[in-house]
Amino acid sequence: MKKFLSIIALMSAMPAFSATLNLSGTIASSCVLNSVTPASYSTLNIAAGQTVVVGQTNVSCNSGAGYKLRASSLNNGRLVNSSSPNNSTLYTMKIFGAGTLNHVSLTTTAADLVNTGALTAPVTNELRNVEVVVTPVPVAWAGTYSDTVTVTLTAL
Amino acid sequence: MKIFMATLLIFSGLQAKADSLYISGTIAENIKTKIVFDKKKNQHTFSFGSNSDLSYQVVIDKYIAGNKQENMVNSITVDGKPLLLELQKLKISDYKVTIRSIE
Repeated sequence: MKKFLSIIALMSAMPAFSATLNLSGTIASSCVLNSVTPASYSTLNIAAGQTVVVGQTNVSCNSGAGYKLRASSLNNGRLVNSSSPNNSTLYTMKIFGAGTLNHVSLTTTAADLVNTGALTAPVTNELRNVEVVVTPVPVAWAGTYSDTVTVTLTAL
Repeated sequence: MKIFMATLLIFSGLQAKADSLYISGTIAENIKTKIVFDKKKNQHTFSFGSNSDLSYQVVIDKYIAGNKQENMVNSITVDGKPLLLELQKLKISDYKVTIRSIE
């Protein structure tokens, strides 16, 4: 019993040691425009004008700050007759969904079509309709009228 | 090393990827011809119009009793103009009209 008590007394006299172990992990920020499909839409009604969905964007983003979808036009917002470049007609574009900025007349410089602001939850393969409104061509010359739109995603 | 890490962090927050979308529509070539008979003058009037910027050759051959009398009575070249803005009118009687586009 005396031995036991002396061991306890000895232990209580020893200094205590402690250390902290920090545990952490990181999920990298990733905001990606997966695709714009289809790559082409070739049945616009140029003569009469038209409002039509021409495709969809597919976005995945886990950044809480959100993202922007921007677009620029090769022909400065016009559908241009391939054989007579002087003949063209205007159009506007809208990408639907949260943060849409409604119809925008595109230029060769990228313009904002969507600004989500802060996201409430990550999005994976989020689809948004892309719509164009075609103004009827003033003089209905025969031919194919076209433009190439470049869509870009930028993380906020 | 710190500068390198900071650069990596900046790029991870500015990911961007572009994709392109080609949009187009077509207005078909539309050629219209019209032949009107004037009883008083006993004449036909031929009208031609096109919405194409192509040029056309209009060849008119004269026929009598089904037999071609001349290879080419009249031939005109028409620069394509929007329909109704410019019509070519010719007087014809018992003729066959051929229209050829010129590329």
